[in-house]
Amino acid sequence: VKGVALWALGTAVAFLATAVAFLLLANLGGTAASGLIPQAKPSDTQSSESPLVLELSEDQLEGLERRSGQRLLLGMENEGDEELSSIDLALDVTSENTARPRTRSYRETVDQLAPNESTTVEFEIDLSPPIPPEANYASTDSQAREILEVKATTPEGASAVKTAVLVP
Amino acid sequence: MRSSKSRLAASVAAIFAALALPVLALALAGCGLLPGNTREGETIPPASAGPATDLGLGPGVRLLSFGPGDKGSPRVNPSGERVAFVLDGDVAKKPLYAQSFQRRTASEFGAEHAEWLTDEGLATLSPQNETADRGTRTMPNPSSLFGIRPDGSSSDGSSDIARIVEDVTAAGAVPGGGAVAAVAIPSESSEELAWSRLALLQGSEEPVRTYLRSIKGSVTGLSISPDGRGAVMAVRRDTSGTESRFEVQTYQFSEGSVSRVARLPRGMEILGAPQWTQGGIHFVAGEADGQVAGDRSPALYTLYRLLPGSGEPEPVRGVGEDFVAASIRVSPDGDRLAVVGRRNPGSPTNLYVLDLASGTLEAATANDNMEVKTNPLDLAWFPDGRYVILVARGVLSGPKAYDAPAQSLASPFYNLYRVPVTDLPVERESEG
Repeated sequence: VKGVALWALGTAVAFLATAVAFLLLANLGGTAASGLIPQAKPSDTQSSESPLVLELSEDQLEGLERRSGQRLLLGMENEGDEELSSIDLALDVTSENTARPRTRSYRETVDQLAPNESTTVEFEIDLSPPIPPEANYASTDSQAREILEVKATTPEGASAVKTAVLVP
Repeated sequence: MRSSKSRLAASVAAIFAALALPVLALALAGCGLLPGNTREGETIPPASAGPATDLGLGPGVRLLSFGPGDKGSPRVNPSGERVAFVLDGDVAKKPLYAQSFQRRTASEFGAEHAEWLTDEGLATLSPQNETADRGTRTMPNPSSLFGIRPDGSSSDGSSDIARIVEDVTAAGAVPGGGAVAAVAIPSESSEELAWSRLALLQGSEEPVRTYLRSIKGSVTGLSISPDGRGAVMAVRRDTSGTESRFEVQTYQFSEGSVSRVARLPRGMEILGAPQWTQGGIHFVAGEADGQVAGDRSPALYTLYRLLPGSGEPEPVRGVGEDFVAASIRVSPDGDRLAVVGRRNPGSPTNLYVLDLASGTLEAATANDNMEVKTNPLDLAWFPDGRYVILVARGVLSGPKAYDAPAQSLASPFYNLYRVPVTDLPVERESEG
């Protein structure tokens, strides 16, 4: 009887040790697999806990024309409980065509934004097409969608991003 | 005594179960078989484990790329681990489910088409800047076929990319990847008497095998049979004056012989490359003047089948009378045909799979406001025949704002989608 009991306990301990070893190996493998495309749909809406919220009205975007001197109003709100200061805003205007990555960059800074306060920041942007069209891939460039990407960051680490895609 | 023994055995069993079951549960949770705190973005759960998501193409479809850029010509390597594609004229490749990719050509290379070779190198077609001085009436714009060596194979510091064949009018590969055939116009060819030669490439550093038997006419589309023994071509041949007619020709590699297997009626043209299947040669054709000017809309194109020895193409009845075909691609085993098209002119573009043995058509996608690329190059099978890759983007009627960086967005830009094509429900002809 004692032998059977010892055998059973030994088996259980061995099973336990093997399972723990497999768990450790599985966790090591999990960290090495970063950078893979998840099965789920990529987030078109960001579920960030940042107190900063950016707003680009689609009605306003509709009125933008592909030329210089376009006025873009960016809404910004502090939904947190603490004041935000020195909010850096970086707006990049790029073409969808990655072979010709022309980027027009614009910068603004908002000194402070109190809790639950909102403000509007104005950018004057150039949406004119590149001149002259060139190279093999220029023929499809007129069909490329235009991208407006705004990133807001604060020294405290709060951040937000908003991307607008304009159709030709 | 007997009862005390059994009580002891029961106690041991209870201790064993108490120890083993939690450990078993932990192990299963670690393997992702029980619900728990999964790390999305780090691991890829199996298709059945995650919540049902619809990317606009129906259930089970999975994204293979993100971000801006005009992507096309997706191809999975023969081992099924990597995908190569053309991104804004550059050739790029990456592990299938990795987010980052590697560009394999210089910026603005102008690549139109990429295919895997047996040594994991790539072959790509890029248009030649200079135009062939043989007139312009029937000669297609020539391209050059380049070989791209596999990573790290260049030990002497030489370029990874080499021009292999010039004046290429068409190229195609074996369905599972690994061998590429290209048709080039020799310098002796003329506008009045156009002819071409076929070259076969298997490795990026292997010599090209050129077949001496010439092909009469201008080859506009080419693919290799699933068994790798021959090629089937769409050939445009001048008849008289300004007229030309399309033919389907086959090339047997072992014999070096070329045969005309069908001649299309005057005014009809073949779209893309014919496909050599277990159910005969299939191709998409329609009235050459039937399209709207300046628009490659395949509104009038039909899927045809050419049975061995018949010489007379017939419309494929299994797809339905109103079916509008755009592009086709044969499966690696040759028994199915992926078809991008529309059930009727008013229905959305979807991916269908035609079972060639039974003649049944199955819908693989359920398009919900997606713009699916219909170029014949933008369709590819996985080597195991379980999935097809297509290229699509969301339809935008106006500007749209997203709460995410452009690099992590998929639907606004052309991206690669993996579509499962096994165990599909059979599409009824009346469904639109």
